[in-house]
Amino acid sequence: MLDATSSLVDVAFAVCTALDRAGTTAVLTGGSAATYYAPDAYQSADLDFVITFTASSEGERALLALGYSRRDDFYEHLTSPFPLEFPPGPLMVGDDVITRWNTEQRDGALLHVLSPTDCCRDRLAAFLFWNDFSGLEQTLCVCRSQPDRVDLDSVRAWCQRERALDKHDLFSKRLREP
Amino acid sequence: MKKRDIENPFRLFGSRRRTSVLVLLGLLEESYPTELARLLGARLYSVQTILDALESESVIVTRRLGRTRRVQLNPRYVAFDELKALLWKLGMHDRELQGAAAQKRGRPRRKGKRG
Repeated sequence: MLDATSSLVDVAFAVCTALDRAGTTAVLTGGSAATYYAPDAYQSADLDFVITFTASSEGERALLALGYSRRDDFYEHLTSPFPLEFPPGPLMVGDDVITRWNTEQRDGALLHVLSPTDCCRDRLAAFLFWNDFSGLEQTLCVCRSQPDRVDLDSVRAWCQRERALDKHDLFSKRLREP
Repeated sequence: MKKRDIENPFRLFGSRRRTSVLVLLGLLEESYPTELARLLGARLYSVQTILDALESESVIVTRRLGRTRRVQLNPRYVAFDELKALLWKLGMHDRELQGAAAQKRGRPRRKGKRG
């Protein structure tokens, strides 16, 4: 049961599992995915799920059963401080449509979440496209927390495609620094 | 070179503060005086004075959006490309200014997004 003490990751697993059992595949993305991979370094204030598949209309009922209720275009919980948002799909990083993600397992629950590499690209996109230095800091948090799970060559190739190697140079320099 | 210059290479544009304003503006690409003052922990008057001087030298330009004075490097400045590249290079080596820039959310927030 979710309550005020549930962490963002607890909520993410509970919501994703409930939706999955209701026939809806929802993938954790945005800053909340960064928090999943780097919980000690970055804390998102809400959870963003992109729905990639739905086979029934039972999803909202599943959220109600968890204690969430709809308010405008987000869901708030009776006691948990973490609201849920479902931005419109498709699941994308920059111009790339994401069709593969990670499915993590924990105590019989599951969580669909951007892969560490795509999570990095998603956070780095804010830096590349909007010059958002907080996005750079979030990217570094994820990379440092998941050093063996981020494909840095893929990140570099993507930056090159986006003609942003100067910003990649800064990202790479910062990543090498202690 | 004096030892003091080695220890503080970021006085290229006259003073540490003036250089910081320019480098931070180079990192952010566009800003406004109160934001620059807040991010740098500087007095607004000091930042405004620096920006006024840079504008009088055509290094930066101002656009008015309502009551806000938006400032950016002047794309018609004779050495715009070189200055932009230099400021980026200096910014790459200044963690303090990168941290200041990171206090600003640059990406757009989806309409209705909370937090």
